[in-house]
Amino acid sequence: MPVSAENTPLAEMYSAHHGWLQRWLQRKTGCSWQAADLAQDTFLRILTSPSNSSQISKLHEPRSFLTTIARRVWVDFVRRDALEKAWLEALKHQPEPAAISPEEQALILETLFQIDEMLEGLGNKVSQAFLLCHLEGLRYAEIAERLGVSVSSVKKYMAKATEHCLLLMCEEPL
Amino acid sequence: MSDIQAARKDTLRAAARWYALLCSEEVTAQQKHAHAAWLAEDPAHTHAWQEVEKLRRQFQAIPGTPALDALQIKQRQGHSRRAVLRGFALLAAGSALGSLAWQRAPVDSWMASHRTARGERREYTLAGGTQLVLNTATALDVVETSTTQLIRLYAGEIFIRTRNETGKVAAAKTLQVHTEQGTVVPLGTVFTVRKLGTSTQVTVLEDEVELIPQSGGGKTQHLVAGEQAQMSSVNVEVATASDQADSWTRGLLVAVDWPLNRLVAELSRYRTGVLRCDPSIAGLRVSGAFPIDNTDRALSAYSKLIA
Repeated sequence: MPVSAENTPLAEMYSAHHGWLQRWLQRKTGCSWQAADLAQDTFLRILTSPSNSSQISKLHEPRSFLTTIARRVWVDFVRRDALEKAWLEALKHQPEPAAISPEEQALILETLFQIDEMLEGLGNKVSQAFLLCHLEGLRYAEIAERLGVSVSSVKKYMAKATEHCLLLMCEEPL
Repeated sequence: MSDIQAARKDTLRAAARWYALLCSEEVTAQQKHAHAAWLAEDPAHTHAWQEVEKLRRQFQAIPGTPALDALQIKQRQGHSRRAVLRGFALLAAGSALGSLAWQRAPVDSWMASHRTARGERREYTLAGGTQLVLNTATALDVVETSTTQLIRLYAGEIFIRTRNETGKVAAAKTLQVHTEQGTVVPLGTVFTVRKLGTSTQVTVLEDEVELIPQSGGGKTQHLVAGEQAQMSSVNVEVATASDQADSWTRGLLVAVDWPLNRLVAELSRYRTGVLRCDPSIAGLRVSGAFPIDNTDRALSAYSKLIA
């Protein structure tokens, strides 16, 4: 990580707490190489997030800040990993052995992850309606039938999911 | 929250409502005009609408069916942020649990024995004389046990004609079709089974079949010729079947008063690449017989029709 060579608050934090964070993560995950990756990603996330970087010099408890970010990194990691497995599983069930290049695969997974993140927190039927409309191109009547709800509910779900996604898209990136 | 933020939120909410309206097959010309007027009213509306378009494009960038499957598989596994965090907290309790989180989910090692590519159709005769036709983009395994000839349908659509009039493969052997949602047992001869995202669609063309949803508590549903059912893993909904449900076995897609987006969705099953329908014309009604072995021809025939 380039910052370790510079005399910045993050570099100081890195040298003072990186070892501790990695050990903390190792206790949590029971795996030393995962802990090393997660610790590295935690600092990377702080480095690449302006709002996080600017907080560093004002911190009273840098370790609790680090563990907060590390938790988020961990959650993202587990969710990405689960999604990637789900994607590979889904591909296996496709009738055609798909010819997807590693680059395309990475892009698809990134998009899927963003979609999955956006829909987090929405009710199951709301997100299902939204996905069936966009990914299967189903009509509202068909979606209503599949979900066992009325067509007007489907419309409400669509508005709700869209609004939810738009608000997230227009939020300041964290 | 500042007034500006509140106003921006309101605009996004309005854009979301417009979008939900325009995606509906019931949207009227008048509503479309009203939407255009809303867009023209304020640059902020146009700006919000660009966000809607951005959102839509995200979905267009990925292959629909596997993407939907992947998201559904993941949702079923319950990896919500909260659940994962709970897992994290649990891990702190004892390191013995620690390595569990990294173990890979068990992976099925099967490769479906019978499959068709997109746009392909293939016919098989199984042991005992059962005629099996695979429609486009279909994957299944045939498993023979001493009492059952089991067809596991993973994706796509099949047409089955049993040789025996009671749907049996042999004197003591029953034919069964399994999908993720449940089991289909023929009590007669001719039917189709189609695997949809979260349900299985069964159409009976001759005689009867019995449907047993996976988690329906042993509930069964009889289906007779002319009926079509959607089976989820817990229940079955029965409707009247179109009498052209097996037209694909003859290379035709027959639409009777379908909205255009349904036709587009059905035709896109038979071709690679993404086929989408502009929401502004998605609700146009259409009837006709379209050749599925040449969807380009079907599409150009249709474009001429609406031009």
